[in-house]
Amino acid sequence: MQTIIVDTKIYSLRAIFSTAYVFLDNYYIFLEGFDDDKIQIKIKSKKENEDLEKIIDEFKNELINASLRLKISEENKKIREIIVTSALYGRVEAPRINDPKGICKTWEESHSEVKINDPKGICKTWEETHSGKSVHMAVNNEILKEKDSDYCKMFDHDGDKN
Amino acid sequence: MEIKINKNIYNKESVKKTIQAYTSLAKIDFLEEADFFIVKIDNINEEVKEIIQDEFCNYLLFESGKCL
Repeated sequence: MQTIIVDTKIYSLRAIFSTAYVFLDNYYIFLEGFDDDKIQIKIKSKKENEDLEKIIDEFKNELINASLRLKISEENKKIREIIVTSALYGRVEAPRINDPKGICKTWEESHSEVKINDPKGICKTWEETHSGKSVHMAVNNEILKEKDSDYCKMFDHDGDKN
Repeated sequence: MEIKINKNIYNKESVKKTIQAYTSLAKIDFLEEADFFIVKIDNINEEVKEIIQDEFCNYLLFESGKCL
């Protein structure tokens, strides 16, 4: 059996547990209090006659790995939450960025408020123009409009063109 | 056989869960002191006594890690 003493001021308890978890398959690990801020880690191999010196070094390296992983995970917590929220709800409340010229905006965002001068409603869709009317009524109205047009009146006199 | 478990390292819930997992293998008693949980394991085959103790500690570590 080998022991390692770890300072919890340097390595958090969570990092120690994460590290120990990696070695659980092949080793028996037990944690004991040592001093106020220190933990004694007892490592015992499941195999007989195994040299534990190498494992102790690997354990220490893994401890650094785990600490770094936890630190990065903590730093990226906010971003992770935003990504998950966006994935679940389909949209994100964007963080407020100081962008007076609107450089960060998409094309749709920057052009959504543009008003086009379209008095005859050319840019409108058929549905927008005829909303509320039945299709037949709308078509009849269009035919009537056509009949009243000057172009049609040219043919109304005895069917001949002037 | 007795295992002293530090309260500052392992939590009570995970100790209870571990005891629950091992009750079919041995008679296990649980005591609580100021700084330690005491787990007494009796009525156990001498040949596997040590292995069960070690496996108990590993299971405890696994359960405690989940709770963090």
